[in-house]
Amino acid sequence: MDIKEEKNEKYFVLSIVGRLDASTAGAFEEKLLSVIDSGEKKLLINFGELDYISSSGLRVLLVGAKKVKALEGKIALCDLKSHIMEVFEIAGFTPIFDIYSTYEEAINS
Amino acid sequence: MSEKTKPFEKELIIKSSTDNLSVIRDFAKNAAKESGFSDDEVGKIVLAVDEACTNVIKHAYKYAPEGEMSVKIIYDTSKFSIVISDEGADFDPGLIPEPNLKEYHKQKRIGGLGMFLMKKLMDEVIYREKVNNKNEVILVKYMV
Repeated sequence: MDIKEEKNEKYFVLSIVGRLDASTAGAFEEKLLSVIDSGEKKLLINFGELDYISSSGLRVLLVGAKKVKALEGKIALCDLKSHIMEVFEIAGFTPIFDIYSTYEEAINS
Repeated sequence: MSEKTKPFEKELIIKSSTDNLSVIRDFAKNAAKESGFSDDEVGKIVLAVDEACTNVIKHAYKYAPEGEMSVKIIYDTSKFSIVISDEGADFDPGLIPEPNLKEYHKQKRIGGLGMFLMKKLMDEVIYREKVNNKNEVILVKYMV
């Protein structure tokens, strides 16, 4: 897994590349929490290059969502592949995040 | 859809490192494909196997990477079973409560999500404690 980061006018964007499972969730958690600790409260996680997620990845997103919510911020997600969206639906995670079909939609909404 | 495939058994014996989860997923993926499941069903089986093995690594071996675990797949044309066994600490699924999702999201409850997913993804999830000194979890998907 790789994580790319960028900042635009609306969001601090983390793009996750590869697979988010128990072997990679720790590195993602470290990055996500360090970004939040640095003062970023509006985050967009770009899933366009994410091929796989397990509950280990979902758990990190939930930890991050709770942390930014306490700061009155939010985490948005974009460009989820259909099989990844299905995991979010099965887990009951879709109401927790603003989910956009594409990166452009997230930026322009 | 599965009539063409003859019954088979395959076993993967592997160390309890999270780095091995991708090898385990590939093993489950290939066997599920061979059994004739759709891509969607294959994805669900792979995720359930990952969650079960992640639980073994976390709870039975406490992330120690030198433990041994076995992933055995038994396909017999009517059902597809994955038997995951380990020789680590006793695992009592009763100690990990199934999350009430409303409460789960409100509180910082982080355990039990993997097991919740396994039950949603598979037709049956069976725990057997200490058979031949091993803990076992059996995931079953019936062929339709």
